[in-house]
Amino acid sequence: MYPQLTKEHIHPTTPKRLAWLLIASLAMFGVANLAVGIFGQHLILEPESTMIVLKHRILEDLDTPVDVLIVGDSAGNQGVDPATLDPAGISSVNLCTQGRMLLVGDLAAMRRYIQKFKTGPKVLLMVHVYDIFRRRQVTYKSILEYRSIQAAGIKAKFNFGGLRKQTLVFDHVIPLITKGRAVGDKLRGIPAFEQEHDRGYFAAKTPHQANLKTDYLDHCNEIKPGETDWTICEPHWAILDEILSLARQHDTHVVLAFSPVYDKLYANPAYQRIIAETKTALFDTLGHDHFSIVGPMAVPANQMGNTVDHVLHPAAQAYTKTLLSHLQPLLAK
Amino acid sequence: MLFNSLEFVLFFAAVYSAYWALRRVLRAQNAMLLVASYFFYGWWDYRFLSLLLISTLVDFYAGAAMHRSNSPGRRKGLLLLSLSCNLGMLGFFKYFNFFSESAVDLCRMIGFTPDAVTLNIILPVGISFYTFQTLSYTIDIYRRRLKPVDDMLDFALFVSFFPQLVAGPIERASHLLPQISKPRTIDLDQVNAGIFLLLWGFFKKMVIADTAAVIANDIFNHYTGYVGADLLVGALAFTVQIYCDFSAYSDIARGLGKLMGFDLMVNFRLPYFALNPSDFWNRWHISLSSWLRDYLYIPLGGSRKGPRRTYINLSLTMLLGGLWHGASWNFILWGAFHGAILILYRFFDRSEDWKAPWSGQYNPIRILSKMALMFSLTVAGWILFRCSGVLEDGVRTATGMQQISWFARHLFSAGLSDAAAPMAAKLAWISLPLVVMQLAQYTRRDLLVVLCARPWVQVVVYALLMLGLSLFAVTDKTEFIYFAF
Repeated sequence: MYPQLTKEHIHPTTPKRLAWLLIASLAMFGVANLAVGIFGQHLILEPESTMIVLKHRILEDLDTPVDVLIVGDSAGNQGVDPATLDPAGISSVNLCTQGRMLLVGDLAAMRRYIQKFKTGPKVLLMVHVYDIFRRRQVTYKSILEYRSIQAAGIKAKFNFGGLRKQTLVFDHVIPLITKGRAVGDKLRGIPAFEQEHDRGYFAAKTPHQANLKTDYLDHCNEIKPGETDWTICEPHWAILDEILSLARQHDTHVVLAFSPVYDKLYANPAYQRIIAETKTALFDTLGHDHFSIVGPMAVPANQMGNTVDHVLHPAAQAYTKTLLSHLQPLLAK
Repeated sequence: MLFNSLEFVLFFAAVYSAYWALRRVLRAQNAMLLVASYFFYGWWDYRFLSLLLISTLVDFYAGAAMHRSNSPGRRKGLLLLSLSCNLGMLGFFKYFNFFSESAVDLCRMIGFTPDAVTLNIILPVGISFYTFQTLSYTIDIYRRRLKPVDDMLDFALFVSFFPQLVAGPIERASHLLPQISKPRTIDLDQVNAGIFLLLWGFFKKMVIADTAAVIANDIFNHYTGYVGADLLVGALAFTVQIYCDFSAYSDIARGLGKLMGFDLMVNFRLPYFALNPSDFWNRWHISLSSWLRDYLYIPLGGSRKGPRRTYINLSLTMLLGGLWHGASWNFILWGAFHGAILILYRFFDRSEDWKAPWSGQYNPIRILSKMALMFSLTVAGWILFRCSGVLEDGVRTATGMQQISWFARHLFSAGLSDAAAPMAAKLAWISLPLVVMQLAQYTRRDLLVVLCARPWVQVVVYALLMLGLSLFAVTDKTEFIYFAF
């Protein structure tokens, strides 16, 4: 062996030293996790939760009623641009948050809006990814944000596995210091949003082909016949009933908009069948009174963001225009 | 059963408990390890246990008979039996379809159109590793450098020892068999080293390699969507991935071994710090490169028969080394590439600086330049290695040659695109712990440098590794790359 060839030197240790090393490092690891677990349970530190708070503030700061109250998940957050509705004289605000809120956020926003303005918006536009109704689990963050969850009849399920997997330090603690984008996002190469705080729209301008491809393959697997239970579960029905009930009381028309979607997934017959079956199930149960469904819209890869339902700004404008053609007759009534 | 799976954690916990319980009865301990090793291997596909058993039986009896015999003809015959049995199984399971398809392609090129005879052959995991391991046993007995082992149980455990069975290190009988045959003591210093190797190995695999794999797979599988520096990001991602993936397996195997009182050979010695191809092969997959040197290159004549013969021997050894990795032209090209650069360096760089580059005799700029050049050549080699074609939903949409051609034409044609910039940033961040650790290991010339640091530094490093695993580990139970070989 020549001198520069790196060798393996065995270093002497003692039982006490080895025990101390293991206990101290496990303790340090445990303390870090515990601390972040506490932050995660009692403080709102993550960018995603910060976004939910931001949307709350937008609603709280809203001085006058709007024509269209836009609620939903992340597909709507970056898929519907209120500025595109402006030229048609339609006032709107985008309060979409994220998929893990399921439909809870929609109901909470609707309730708060009615409480605040004593009337409903003319249209409640609910923008959701196609698979939102198959999702069952509400995470602890939803519970922290929306106390109304129990009122909506959803059983809280604390997901400690999920809690452990959260990129706790980088997503919870460091954003306190960076006050903006999480370092965890930077590490994972997730593009930043350009926020338009006043109207709630988050414009995505950077594609992320690697994530898109992975997400697409995941969805292809999910929609394979027999892979996933697509029935709409009871909590979703409970929330939809509550929303429709409020809408009918306040003469609000509810539009459920399936989000824009990656064109390769759109072309998949299994996807089309799920959309058709979901529409049928919703109409059969909820009827057509004050309720309609639009979408989805196919978007090519070069206009997609990091997942099959996240679009870049130009596609968001195009999608909003397609929604406009559906909204105008409703608002003209 | 993958090291990075819950099943393995449970399996090892059970094995280790039994190992402790049987610590005073060597034979029972070995028998338990053998059953555990067969269970570990059978977890993938129990049918392939028969191949392991055939190898074990043939080589055990051939080795014993060879040792007893004084007839050169009989000894040669027994060696041929061992070689043909082991290489026959390896050839059939690993290379049958490749050679059959290549022969048909060749016939088509000269105007014949025969029907291809291909079989739906599944590659038994680890076959290349245990075949070479057991071959070293019979060859060493043939050369009278090793006495055969008397106990079939010990030999069976040597062939199938689970920590290194499926992806090495390829142990030599002279190194591992004595550790199996004699009572072992679990030494605290070795346990200390083993814990570090396990932690660092899991971190390299689950945090660095599997994250880099996402980038490499995206760029190599969708290569026509990328040009210029984007392709370089893909090549660098694979460079990080393959090292971290493979060396992680060796580290985990060695760590497990140390916990049980075994000392498995070092398989990697910071290969990306190499100054030339010879230096690289002294640092990369050492158990294979030294096997090829001892059982192929030197028997062919090595460098003893003049320069021309040396170059032929080098080329042949590297070509076969490439083919060992898989039945595909890109591996052969990769082997040829390494053979070619070994020869070129012998022509143009006869300096011995790589043996002691920091001794003060050489200009540091010269040393760093040589290191950078060798690293670039290594990355170029990995492009050939990774370009094995693209499969989409089981359908081949691009060949390895098409990928290589694209890389050759577009690698230097443009800067970094907006799409690849986040990937480059992610690769840089995720590689940072590797760079820091390796710089410490290289400058201190100690692979276990962390263990001689101050106690509080060790605590911080261990806690950070655990935290890294809990925060960033890819938990999809991705296989180790070298399982495919």
